[in-house]
Amino acid sequence: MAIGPVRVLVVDDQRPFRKAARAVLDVMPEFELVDEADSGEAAVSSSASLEPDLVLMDVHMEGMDGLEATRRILAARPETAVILVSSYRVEDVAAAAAESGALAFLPKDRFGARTLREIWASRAELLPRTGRREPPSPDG
Amino acid sequence: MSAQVSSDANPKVLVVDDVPRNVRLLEAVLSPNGYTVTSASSGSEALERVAADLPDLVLLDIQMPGMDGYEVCRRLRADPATRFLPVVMITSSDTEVRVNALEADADDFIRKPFDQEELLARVRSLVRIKHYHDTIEAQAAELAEWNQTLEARVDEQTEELRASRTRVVSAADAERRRIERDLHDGAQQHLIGLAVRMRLARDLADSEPEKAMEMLDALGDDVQEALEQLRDLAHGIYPPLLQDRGLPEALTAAAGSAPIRTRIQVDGITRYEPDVEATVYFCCLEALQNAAKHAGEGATATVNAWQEAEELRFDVADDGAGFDPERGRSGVGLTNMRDRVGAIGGSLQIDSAPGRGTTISGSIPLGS
Ligand SMILES: Nc1ncnc2c1ncn2[C@@H]1O[C@H](COP(=O)(O)OP(=O)(O)OP(=O)(O)O)[C@@H](O)[C@H]1O
Ligand SMILES: [Mg+2]
Repeated sequence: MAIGPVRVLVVDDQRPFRKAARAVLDVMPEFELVDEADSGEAAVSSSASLEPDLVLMDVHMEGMDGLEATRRILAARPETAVILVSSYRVEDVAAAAAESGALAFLPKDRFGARTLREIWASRAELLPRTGRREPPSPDG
Repeated sequence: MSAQVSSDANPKVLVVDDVPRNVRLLEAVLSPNGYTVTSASSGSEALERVAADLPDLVLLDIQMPGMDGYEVCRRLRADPATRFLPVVMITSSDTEVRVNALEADADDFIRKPFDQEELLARVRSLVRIKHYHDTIEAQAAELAEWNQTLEARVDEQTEELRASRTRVVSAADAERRRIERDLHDGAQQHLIGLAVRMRLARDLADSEPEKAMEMLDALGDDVQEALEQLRDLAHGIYPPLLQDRGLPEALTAAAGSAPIRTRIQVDGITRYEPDVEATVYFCCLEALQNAAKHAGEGATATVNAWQEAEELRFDVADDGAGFDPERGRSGVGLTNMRDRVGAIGGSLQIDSAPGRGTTISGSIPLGS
Protein backbone atom coordinates (compact mmCIF):
# COMPACT_ATOMS: atom_id res chain seq x y z
CA MET A 1 0.00 0.00 0.00
CA ALA A 2 1.45 3.33 -1.13
CA ILE A 3 2.08 5.97 1.50
CA GLY A 4 -0.14 9.03 1.01
CA PRO A 5 -3.55 10.42 1.79
CA VAL A 6 -6.51 8.14 2.49
CA ARG A 7 -8.31 7.69 -0.83
CA VAL A 8 -12.02 8.33 -0.51
CA LEU A 9 -15.04 7.44 -2.66
CA VAL A 10 -18.23 9.40 -1.97
CA VAL A 11 -21.52 7.69 -2.90
CA ASP A 12 -24.87 9.49 -2.87
CA ASP A 13 -27.66 9.86 -5.41
CA GLN A 14 -28.27 13.37 -4.09
CA ARG A 15 -25.96 16.12 -5.22
CA PRO A 16 -25.98 18.39 -2.11
CA PHE A 17 -24.22 15.91 0.17
CA ARG A 18 -21.63 15.00 -2.46
CA LYS A 19 -20.89 18.69 -2.83
CA ALA A 20 -20.58 19.17 0.93
CA ALA A 21 -18.40 16.08 1.36
CA ARG A 22 -16.13 17.34 -1.40
CA ALA A 23 -15.77 20.67 0.37
CA VAL A 24 -14.84 18.95 3.63
CA LEU A 25 -12.33 16.60 2.01
CA ASP A 26 -10.82 19.54 0.11
CA VAL A 27 -9.59 21.12 3.31
CA MET A 28 -8.25 17.85 4.77
CA PRO A 29 -4.79 17.12 3.34
CA GLU A 30 -4.70 13.63 4.87
CA PHE A 31 -7.77 12.62 2.78
CA GLU A 32 -8.18 12.65 -0.95
CA LEU A 33 -11.43 12.43 -2.91
CA VAL A 34 -10.83 9.95 -5.74
CA ASP A 35 -14.36 9.66 -7.14
CA GLU A 36 -18.04 10.39 -6.64
CA ALA A 37 -20.73 7.85 -7.47
CA ASP A 38 -24.47 8.55 -7.71
CA SER A 39 -25.73 4.96 -7.37
CA GLY A 40 -24.96 1.67 -5.69
CA GLU A 41 -24.02 0.13 -9.02
CA ALA A 42 -21.62 2.97 -9.87
CA ALA A 43 -20.09 2.66 -6.40
CA VAL A 44 -19.35 -1.05 -6.85
CA SER A 45 -17.65 -0.55 -10.18
CA SER A 46 -15.77 2.56 -9.07
CA SER A 47 -14.55 0.71 -6.01
CA ALA A 48 -13.36 -2.18 -8.15
CA SER A 49 -11.34 0.03 -10.49
CA LEU A 50 -10.04 2.70 -8.10
CA GLU A 51 -9.65 0.58 -4.93
CA PRO A 52 -10.41 3.41 -2.46
CA ASP A 53 -9.39 3.06 1.20
CA LEU A 54 -12.60 4.60 2.45
CA VAL A 55 -16.12 4.77 1.07
CA LEU A 56 -18.72 7.25 2.34
CA MET A 57 -21.88 5.42 1.42
CA ASP A 58 -25.44 6.78 1.39
CA VAL A 59 -27.93 4.18 2.64
CA HIS A 60 -31.09 5.01 0.66
CA MET A 61 -30.71 5.07 -3.08
CA GLU A 62 -32.90 4.05 -5.99
CA GLY A 63 -31.92 0.69 -7.45
CA MET A 64 -29.09 -0.94 -5.52
CA ASP A 65 -29.10 0.65 -2.08
CA GLY A 66 -26.10 1.49 0.06
CA LEU A 67 -26.27 -1.66 2.18
CA GLU A 68 -26.17 -3.96 -0.82
CA ALA A 69 -23.39 -1.92 -2.43
CA THR A 70 -21.43 -2.13 0.86
CA ARG A 71 -21.79 -5.91 0.97
CA ARG A 72 -20.53 -6.23 -2.60
CA ILE A 73 -17.62 -3.87 -2.13
CA LEU A 74 -16.52 -5.68 1.04
CA ALA A 75 -16.95 -9.07 -0.60
CA ALA A 76 -14.55 -7.99 -3.35
CA ARG A 77 -12.14 -6.00 -1.16
CA PRO A 78 -12.58 -6.74 2.57
CA GLU A 79 -9.90 -4.21 3.51
CA THR A 80 -12.09 -1.31 2.34
CA ALA A 81 -13.48 0.87 5.15
CA VAL A 82 -17.10 1.88 4.62
CA ILE A 83 -18.89 4.59 6.57
CA LEU A 84 -22.65 4.60 6.05
CA VAL A 85 -24.20 8.04 5.90
CA SER A 86 -27.88 8.83 5.86
CA SER A 87 -30.27 11.69 6.21
CA TYR A 88 -32.45 9.38 8.29
CA ARG A 89 -31.78 8.92 11.97
CA VAL A 90 -30.04 5.74 12.96
CA GLU A 91 -33.28 4.30 14.41
CA ASP A 92 -35.00 4.80 11.07
CA VAL A 93 -32.36 2.85 9.19
CA ALA A 94 -32.87 -0.88 9.00
CA ALA A 95 -31.04 -3.12 11.44
CA ALA A 96 -29.45 -4.53 8.31
CA ALA A 97 -27.09 -1.54 8.44
CA ALA A 98 -25.35 -3.13 11.41
CA GLU A 99 -24.82 -6.36 9.50
CA SER A 100 -23.56 -4.82 6.30
CA GLY A 101 -19.96 -4.85 7.54
CA ALA A 102 -19.69 -1.06 7.59
CA LEU A 103 -17.33 0.59 10.04
CA ALA A 104 -19.78 3.18 11.31
CA PHE A 105 -23.11 4.86 10.75
CA LEU A 106 -23.20 8.63 10.58
CA PRO A 107 -26.16 10.99 10.15
CA LYS A 108 -25.27 13.15 7.16
CA ASP A 109 -25.68 16.43 8.98
CA ARG A 110 -23.07 15.36 11.56
CA PHE A 111 -20.48 14.73 8.89
CA GLY A 112 -17.43 16.97 9.22
CA ALA A 113 -13.66 17.04 9.34
CA ARG A 114 -13.40 16.28 13.03
CA THR A 115 -15.87 13.39 12.99
CA LEU A 116 -14.16 11.86 9.97
CA ARG A 117 -10.76 12.10 11.63
CA GLU A 118 -12.13 10.53 14.83
CA ILE A 119 -13.74 7.62 13.07
CA TRP A 120 -10.64 7.03 11.02
CA ALA A 121 -8.38 7.13 14.06
CA SER A 122 -10.46 4.60 15.94
CA ARG A 123 -11.22 2.37 12.96
CA ALA A 124 -9.35 -0.56 14.54
CA GLU A 125 -11.81 -0.68 17.47
CA LEU A 126 -14.74 -0.03 15.21
CA LEU A 127 -13.99 -2.94 12.89
CA PRO A 128 -16.78 -5.49 12.97
CA ARG A 129 -15.89 -8.81 14.59
CA THR A 130 -16.11 -10.56 11.27
CA GLY A 131 -12.35 -10.97 10.97
CA ARG A 132 -11.86 -8.35 8.31
CA ARG A 133 -8.38 -7.15 7.77
CA GLU A 134 -7.51 -3.80 9.19
CA PRO A 135 -7.66 -1.03 6.59
CA PRO A 136 -4.40 0.76 5.87
CA SER A 137 -3.44 3.77 7.92
CA PRO A 138 -2.75 7.05 6.13
CA ASP A 139 0.86 7.04 7.24
CA GLY A 140 1.75 3.55 6.16
CA MET B 1 -95.47 -19.33 -0.88
CA SER B 2 -97.06 -16.04 -1.82
CA ALA B 3 -100.68 -15.65 -0.80
CA GLN B 4 -103.35 -15.66 -3.44
CA VAL B 5 -105.71 -12.76 -3.50
CA SER B 6 -108.89 -13.73 -5.27
CA SER B 7 -109.02 -10.77 -7.56
CA ASP B 8 -112.07 -11.74 -9.52
CA ALA B 9 -115.35 -10.48 -8.15
CA ASN B 10 -116.83 -13.95 -7.67
CA PRO B 11 -115.63 -15.62 -4.47
CA LYS B 12 -115.20 -19.39 -4.77
CA VAL B 13 -117.03 -21.64 -2.37
CA LEU B 14 -116.36 -25.35 -2.11
CA VAL B 15 -119.40 -27.36 -0.96
CA VAL B 16 -118.56 -30.74 0.55
CA ASP B 17 -121.41 -33.19 1.05
CA ASP B 18 -121.93 -36.84 0.16
CA VAL B 19 -125.61 -36.19 -0.53
CA PRO B 20 -126.01 -34.63 -4.01
CA ARG B 21 -129.33 -33.09 -3.07
CA ASN B 22 -127.70 -31.10 -0.28
CA VAL B 23 -125.02 -29.86 -2.67
CA ARG B 24 -127.65 -28.69 -5.16
CA LEU B 25 -129.55 -26.96 -2.39
CA LEU B 26 -126.55 -24.92 -1.28
CA GLU B 27 -125.60 -24.18 -4.85
CA ALA B 28 -129.10 -22.86 -5.49
CA VAL B 29 -128.66 -20.35 -2.67
CA LEU B 30 -125.02 -19.32 -3.35
CA SER B 31 -124.81 -19.08 -7.15
CA PRO B 32 -127.50 -16.41 -7.61
CA ASN B 33 -125.71 -14.38 -4.93
CA GLY B 34 -122.48 -14.09 -6.85
CA TYR B 35 -120.50 -17.11 -5.63
CA THR B 36 -118.75 -19.62 -7.85
CA VAL B 37 -119.57 -23.00 -6.41
CA THR B 38 -117.57 -26.19 -6.78
CA SER B 39 -118.32 -29.39 -4.94
CA ALA B 40 -116.82 -32.56 -3.50
CA SER B 41 -118.70 -35.67 -2.34
CA SER B 42 -116.14 -37.02 0.13
CA GLY B 43 -113.49 -35.89 2.57
CA SER B 44 -110.56 -36.92 0.42
CA GLU B 45 -112.04 -35.35 -2.68
CA ALA B 46 -112.54 -32.16 -0.65
CA LEU B 47 -108.80 -32.00 0.12
CA GLU B 48 -107.99 -32.49 -3.57
CA ARG B 49 -110.41 -29.75 -4.62
CA VAL B 50 -109.02 -27.33 -2.06
CA ALA B 51 -105.51 -27.87 -3.38
CA ALA B 52 -106.65 -27.53 -7.01
CA ASP B 53 -109.26 -24.74 -6.84
CA LEU B 54 -107.99 -22.60 -3.95
CA PRO B 55 -111.51 -21.76 -2.78
CA ASP B 56 -112.22 -18.75 -0.57
CA LEU B 57 -114.45 -20.73 1.75
CA VAL B 58 -115.42 -24.33 2.44
CA LEU B 59 -118.90 -25.46 3.46
CA LEU B 60 -118.29 -28.80 5.08
CA ASP B 61 -120.79 -31.51 5.96
CA ILE B 62 -119.84 -33.41 9.10
CA GLN B 63 -121.26 -36.83 8.53
CA MET B 64 -119.70 -38.45 5.52
CA PRO B 65 -118.55 -42.01 4.93
CA GLY B 66 -114.79 -42.41 5.07
CA MET B 67 -113.05 -39.23 6.17
CA ASP B 68 -115.62 -37.16 8.02
CA GLY B 69 -115.88 -33.38 8.21
CA TYR B 70 -113.89 -33.08 11.49
CA GLU B 71 -110.95 -34.83 9.95
CA VAL B 72 -111.06 -32.72 6.79
CA CYS B 73 -111.09 -29.59 8.92
CA ARG B 74 -108.21 -30.78 11.07
CA ARG B 75 -106.12 -31.52 8.02
CA LEU B 76 -106.86 -28.13 6.47
CA ARG B 77 -105.70 -26.49 9.71
CA ALA B 78 -102.54 -28.57 9.79
CA ASP B 79 -101.49 -27.43 6.32
CA PRO B 80 -99.85 -23.97 6.41
CA ALA B 81 -101.28 -23.25 2.96
CA THR B 82 -104.86 -23.64 4.21
CA ARG B 83 -104.50 -22.79 7.87
CA PHE B 84 -106.55 -19.64 7.45
CA LEU B 85 -109.03 -20.93 4.89
CA PRO B 86 -112.54 -20.24 6.34
CA VAL B 87 -114.40 -23.46 7.07
CA VAL B 88 -118.09 -23.53 7.91
CA MET B 89 -119.43 -26.80 9.21
CA ILE B 90 -122.93 -27.95 8.46
CA THR B 91 -124.19 -29.63 11.62
CA SER B 92 -127.29 -31.35 12.86
CA SER B 93 -128.86 -29.54 15.73
CA ASP B 94 -127.35 -31.26 18.74
CA THR B 95 -124.81 -29.45 20.84
CA GLU B 96 -122.27 -32.25 21.03
CA VAL B 97 -121.67 -31.92 17.33
CA ARG B 98 -121.19 -28.18 17.69
CA VAL B 99 -118.58 -28.64 20.34
CA ASN B 100 -116.71 -31.08 18.13
CA ALA B 101 -116.94 -28.66 15.24
CA LEU B 102 -115.33 -25.92 17.33
CA GLU B 103 -112.68 -28.31 18.56
CA ALA B 104 -111.81 -29.17 14.98
CA ASP B 105 -111.20 -25.42 14.67
CA ALA B 106 -113.94 -24.60 12.22
CA ASP B 107 -114.63 -20.89 11.83
CA ASP B 108 -118.37 -21.25 12.10
CA PHE B 109 -121.20 -23.71 11.88
CA ILE B 110 -124.62 -23.75 10.37
CA ARG B 111 -127.46 -25.83 11.59
CA LYS B 112 -129.51 -27.98 9.22
CA PRO B 113 -132.04 -27.16 8.01
CA PHE B 114 -130.41 -23.77 7.42
CA ASP B 115 -131.83 -20.34 7.14
CA GLN B 116 -130.88 -18.80 3.76
CA GLU B 117 -130.24 -15.28 5.02
CA GLU B 118 -128.17 -16.53 7.93
CA LEU B 119 -126.09 -18.72 5.62
CA LEU B 120 -125.45 -15.86 3.20
CA ALA B 121 -124.56 -13.44 6.01
CA ARG B 122 -121.96 -15.81 7.51
CA VAL B 123 -120.47 -16.75 4.16
CA ARG B 124 -120.23 -13.07 3.20
CA SER B 125 -118.44 -12.02 6.35
CA LEU B 126 -116.03 -14.96 6.32
CA VAL B 127 -115.17 -14.37 2.68
CA ARG B 128 -114.50 -10.74 3.47
CA ILE B 129 -112.20 -11.72 6.32
CA LYS B 130 -110.45 -14.17 4.04
CA HIS B 131 -109.98 -11.39 1.53
CA TYR B 132 -108.40 -9.07 4.12
CA HIS B 133 -106.22 -11.85 5.28
CA ASP B 134 -105.04 -12.57 1.73
CA THR B 135 -104.34 -8.89 1.12
CA ILE B 136 -102.32 -8.60 4.29
CA GLU B 137 -100.40 -11.73 3.49
CA ALA B 138 -99.64 -10.48 0.01
CA GLN B 139 -98.44 -7.18 1.43
CA ALA B 140 -96.32 -8.97 3.99
CA ALA B 141 -94.74 -11.00 1.23
CA GLU B 142 -94.11 -7.84 -0.77
CA LEU B 143 -92.61 -6.17 2.28
CA ALA B 144 -90.34 -9.12 2.88
CA GLU B 145 -89.21 -8.91 -0.72
CA TRP B 146 -88.58 -5.16 -0.44
CA ASN B 147 -86.76 -5.70 2.74
CA GLN B 148 -84.51 -8.20 1.03
CA THR B 149 -83.84 -5.83 -1.86
CA LEU B 150 -83.11 -3.03 0.57
CA GLU B 151 -80.79 -5.20 2.60
CA ALA B 152 -78.96 -6.21 -0.54
CA ARG B 153 -78.67 -2.57 -1.55
CA VAL B 154 -77.42 -1.53 1.86
CA ASP B 155 -74.86 -4.33 1.71
CA GLU B 156 -73.76 -3.13 -1.70
CA GLN B 157 -73.39 0.45 -0.56
CA THR B 158 -71.60 -0.55 2.61
CA GLU B 159 -69.18 -2.52 0.49
CA GLU B 160 -68.68 0.40 -1.92
CA LEU B 161 -68.23 2.76 1.02
CA ARG B 162 -65.67 0.45 2.56
CA ALA B 163 -63.82 0.18 -0.73
CA SER B 164 -63.84 3.94 -1.29
CA ARG B 165 -62.72 4.56 2.27
CA THR B 166 -59.85 2.16 1.72
CA ARG B 167 -58.98 4.01 -1.47
CA VAL B 168 -59.16 7.38 0.30
CA VAL B 169 -56.87 6.10 3.05
CA SER B 170 -54.37 4.61 0.65
CA ALA B 171 -54.49 7.75 -1.49
CA ALA B 172 -53.70 9.74 1.64
CA ASP B 173 -50.87 7.34 2.42
CA ALA B 174 -49.50 7.67 -1.09
CA GLU B 175 -49.71 11.43 -0.78
CA ARG B 176 -47.84 11.34 2.52
CA ARG B 177 -45.18 9.14 0.97
CA ARG B 178 -44.84 11.58 -1.90
CA ILE B 179 -44.48 14.49 0.52
CA GLU B 180 -41.96 12.56 2.59
CA ARG B 181 -39.93 11.80 -0.52
CA ASP B 182 -40.17 15.36 -1.79
CA LEU B 183 -39.02 16.70 1.55
CA HIS B 184 -36.29 14.12 1.87
CA ASP B 185 -34.94 14.43 -1.65
CA GLY B 186 -35.43 18.16 -1.86
CA ALA B 187 -35.12 20.67 0.91
CA GLN B 188 -33.75 18.21 3.47
CA GLN B 189 -30.77 17.35 1.29
CA HIS B 190 -29.98 21.02 0.82
CA LEU B 191 -30.20 21.65 4.53
CA ILE B 192 -27.90 18.72 5.22
CA GLY B 193 -25.38 20.07 2.74
CA LEU B 194 -25.69 23.47 4.38
CA ALA B 195 -25.14 22.02 7.85
CA VAL B 196 -22.00 20.19 6.78
CA ARG B 197 -20.53 23.16 4.97
CA MET B 198 -21.40 25.57 7.75
CA ARG B 199 -19.54 23.39 10.21
CA LEU B 200 -16.62 23.34 7.82
CA ALA B 201 -16.64 27.13 7.57
CA ARG B 202 -16.70 27.40 11.34
CA ASP B 203 -13.79 24.93 11.63
CA LEU B 204 -11.83 27.09 9.23
CA ALA B 205 -12.81 30.40 10.81
CA ASP B 206 -9.65 30.59 12.95
CA SER B 207 -7.03 29.17 10.66
CA GLU B 208 -8.29 30.43 7.31
CA PRO B 209 -10.88 33.19 7.89
CA GLU B 210 -10.91 34.30 4.28
CA LYS B 211 -11.70 30.86 2.99
CA ALA B 212 -14.39 30.52 5.66
CA MET B 213 -16.04 33.75 4.50
CA GLU B 214 -15.95 32.61 0.91
CA MET B 215 -17.66 29.41 1.91
CA LEU B 216 -20.37 31.16 3.84
CA ASP B 217 -21.07 33.37 0.81
CA ALA B 218 -21.50 30.31 -1.38
CA LEU B 219 -24.03 28.89 1.08
CA GLY B 220 -26.48 31.66 0.19
CA ASP B 221 -27.33 30.06 -3.14
CA ASP B 222 -28.11 26.75 -1.48
CA VAL B 223 -30.31 28.41 1.11
CA GLN B 224 -32.21 30.02 -1.74
CA GLU B 225 -32.62 26.69 -3.51
CA ALA B 226 -33.82 24.96 -0.34
CA LEU B 227 -36.36 27.72 0.24
CA GLU B 228 -37.59 27.48 -3.33
CA GLN B 229 -38.16 23.76 -2.98
CA LEU B 230 -39.96 24.14 0.32
CA ARG B 231 -42.16 26.78 -1.24
CA ASP B 232 -43.05 24.53 -4.19
CA LEU B 233 -43.75 21.65 -1.92
CA ALA B 234 -45.98 23.70 0.38
CA HIS B 235 -47.80 24.99 -2.67
CA GLY B 236 -48.44 21.43 -3.86
CA ILE B 237 -49.79 20.43 -0.45
CA TYR B 238 -52.17 23.35 -0.13
CA PRO B 239 -51.96 26.27 -2.51
CA PRO B 240 -51.57 29.47 -0.47
CA LEU B 241 -53.83 31.33 -2.88
CA LEU B 242 -56.64 28.86 -2.19
CA GLN B 243 -56.21 29.31 1.52
CA ASP B 244 -55.96 33.11 1.40
CA ARG B 245 -58.33 34.09 -1.39
CA GLY B 246 -60.53 31.05 -2.04
CA LEU B 247 -61.62 29.24 -5.16
CA PRO B 248 -62.19 32.08 -7.65
CA GLU B 249 -58.61 33.32 -7.53
CA ALA B 250 -56.98 29.93 -7.00
CA LEU B 251 -58.86 28.40 -9.96
CA THR B 252 -58.14 31.43 -12.14
CA ALA B 253 -54.44 31.13 -11.35
CA ALA B 254 -54.52 27.37 -11.99
CA ALA B 255 -56.27 27.89 -15.33
CA GLY B 256 -53.72 30.54 -16.28
CA SER B 257 -50.80 28.21 -15.70
CA ALA B 258 -52.50 25.06 -17.05
CA PRO B 259 -50.68 23.27 -19.87
CA ILE B 260 -53.80 23.65 -22.06
CA ARG B 261 -55.54 26.85 -23.21
CA THR B 262 -58.30 27.37 -20.67
CA ARG B 263 -61.20 29.77 -20.32
CA ILE B 264 -62.60 30.20 -16.84
CA GLN B 265 -65.95 31.38 -15.50
CA VAL B 266 -66.20 31.47 -11.71
CA ASP B 267 -68.57 34.39 -11.01
CA GLY B 268 -70.90 34.06 -8.11
CA ILE B 269 -68.86 31.71 -5.98
CA THR B 270 -67.40 32.83 -2.69
CA ARG B 271 -65.71 31.12 0.24
CA TYR B 272 -66.63 27.65 1.49
CA GLU B 273 -65.52 25.11 4.05
CA PRO B 274 -61.85 24.20 3.50
CA ASP B 275 -62.67 20.61 2.52
CA VAL B 276 -65.16 21.83 -0.09
CA GLU B 277 -62.68 24.31 -1.53
CA ALA B 278 -59.87 21.77 -1.56
CA THR B 279 -62.05 19.14 -3.24
CA VAL B 280 -63.26 21.43 -6.01
CA TYR B 281 -59.78 22.83 -6.55
CA PHE B 282 -58.07 19.46 -6.83
CA CYS B 283 -60.83 18.01 -9.02
CA CYS B 284 -60.59 20.92 -11.44
CA LEU B 285 -56.81 20.66 -11.42
CA GLU B 286 -56.85 16.92 -12.10
CA ALA B 287 -59.49 17.33 -14.82
CA LEU B 288 -57.37 20.05 -16.46
CA GLN B 289 -54.31 17.84 -16.24
CA ASN B 290 -56.30 15.05 -17.88
CA ALA B 291 -57.45 17.41 -20.61
CA ALA B 292 -53.87 18.50 -21.22
CA LYS B 293 -52.63 14.89 -21.19
CA HIS B 294 -55.40 13.07 -23.05
CA ALA B 295 -57.49 15.56 -25.08
CA GLY B 296 -54.89 15.86 -27.78
CA GLU B 297 -53.22 18.53 -29.91
CA GLY B 298 -55.01 21.88 -30.17
CA ALA B 299 -57.76 21.11 -27.69
CA THR B 300 -58.99 23.88 -25.40
CA ALA B 301 -60.67 23.66 -22.03
CA THR B 302 -63.19 25.56 -19.95
CA VAL B 303 -63.61 25.63 -16.20
CA ASN B 304 -66.92 26.71 -14.69
CA ALA B 305 -67.89 26.95 -11.07
CA TRP B 306 -71.15 28.35 -9.80
CA GLN B 307 -73.60 28.09 -6.98
CA GLU B 308 -77.07 26.71 -7.57
CA ALA B 309 -79.68 26.24 -4.88
CA GLU B 310 -77.79 24.69 -1.98
CA GLU B 311 -75.06 23.24 -4.16
CA LEU B 312 -71.64 24.26 -5.36
CA ARG B 313 -71.25 23.02 -8.91
CA PHE B 314 -68.32 22.87 -11.26
CA ASP B 315 -67.47 21.47 -14.62
CA VAL B 316 -64.31 21.12 -16.61
CA ALA B 317 -64.87 20.56 -20.32
CA ASP B 318 -62.61 20.12 -23.30
CA ASP B 319 -63.23 19.81 -27.04
CA GLY B 320 -60.60 17.13 -27.52
CA ALA B 321 -60.38 13.43 -28.26
CA GLY B 322 -62.85 12.21 -25.63
CA PHE B 323 -63.04 8.60 -24.47
CA ASP B 324 -65.54 5.91 -23.60
CA PRO B 325 -66.06 6.14 -19.83
CA GLU B 326 -67.61 2.66 -19.79
CA ARG B 327 -64.63 1.02 -21.35
CA GLY B 328 -61.52 2.97 -20.49
CA ARG B 329 -59.88 1.83 -17.31
CA SER B 330 -60.31 4.43 -14.65
CA GLY B 331 -56.90 5.62 -13.51
CA VAL B 332 -55.90 7.07 -10.20
CA GLY B 333 -57.04 10.53 -11.28
CA LEU B 334 -60.72 9.85 -11.94
CA THR B 335 -61.01 7.47 -8.99
CA ASN B 336 -59.50 10.08 -6.68
CA MET B 337 -61.92 12.72 -7.96
CA ARG B 338 -64.88 10.40 -7.32
CA ASP B 339 -63.67 9.48 -3.86
CA ARG B 340 -62.91 13.04 -2.84
CA VAL B 341 -66.27 14.32 -4.03
CA GLY B 342 -68.04 11.32 -2.51
CA ALA B 343 -66.29 11.84 0.82
CA ILE B 344 -68.07 15.19 1.27
CA GLY B 345 -71.42 13.94 0.06
CA GLY B 346 -71.28 15.20 -3.52
CA SER B 347 -71.44 13.46 -6.85
CA LEU B 348 -69.28 13.44 -9.96
CA GLN B 349 -70.32 12.83 -13.53
CA ILE B 350 -68.18 11.96 -16.50
CA ASP B 351 -69.62 12.80 -19.87
CA SER B 352 -67.46 11.81 -22.79
CA ALA B 353 -67.38 9.86 -26.02
CA PRO B 354 -64.63 9.30 -28.59
CA GLY B 355 -64.38 12.39 -30.79
CA ARG B 356 -66.84 14.39 -28.70
CA GLY B 357 -64.72 15.95 -26.01
CA THR B 358 -65.00 15.41 -22.28
CA THR B 359 -66.97 17.10 -19.55
CA ILE B 360 -66.37 16.31 -15.91
CA SER B 361 -69.00 17.84 -13.69
CA GLY B 362 -69.50 17.72 -9.97
CA SER B 363 -71.94 19.03 -7.43
CA ILE B 364 -71.35 19.41 -3.74
CA PRO B 365 -74.08 20.01 -1.17
CA LEU B 366 -73.52 23.10 0.94
CA GLY B 367 -75.65 22.07 3.91
CA SER B 368 -75.06 23.94 7.16
N1 LIG C 1 -60.12 14.94 -20.85
C1 LIG C 1 -59.92 13.69 -21.33
N2 LIG C 1 -59.85 13.46 -22.67
C2 LIG C 1 -59.63 12.22 -23.15
N3 LIG C 1 -59.47 11.13 -22.39
C3 LIG C 1 -59.52 11.28 -21.05
C4 LIG C 1 -59.76 12.55 -20.45
N4 LIG C 1 -59.80 12.40 -19.11
C5 LIG C 1 -59.58 11.08 -18.88
N5 LIG C 1 -59.42 10.40 -20.04
C6 LIG C 1 -59.21 8.94 -20.17
O1 LIG C 1 -59.55 8.30 -18.96
C7 LIG C 1 -58.46 7.59 -18.44
C8 LIG C 1 -58.46 7.66 -16.93
O2 LIG C 1 -58.12 8.96 -16.46
P1 LIG C 1 -57.42 9.11 -15.05
O3 LIG C 1 -57.23 10.54 -14.74
O4 LIG C 1 -58.23 8.34 -14.09
O5 LIG C 1 -56.05 8.37 -15.24
P2 LIG C 1 -54.74 8.89 -16.03
O6 LIG C 1 -54.86 10.33 -16.36
O7 LIG C 1 -54.49 7.94 -17.15
O8 LIG C 1 -53.60 8.66 -14.98
P3 LIG C 1 -53.42 9.44 -13.57
O9 LIG C 1 -53.61 8.37 -12.57
O10 LIG C 1 -52.06 9.98 -13.60
O11 LIG C 1 -54.46 10.51 -13.50
C9 LIG C 1 -57.24 8.24 -19.10
O12 LIG C 1 -56.19 7.32 -19.19
C10 LIG C 1 -57.76 8.62 -20.47
O13 LIG C 1 -57.74 7.52 -21.32
MG1 LIG D 1 -55.34 11.73 -14.79
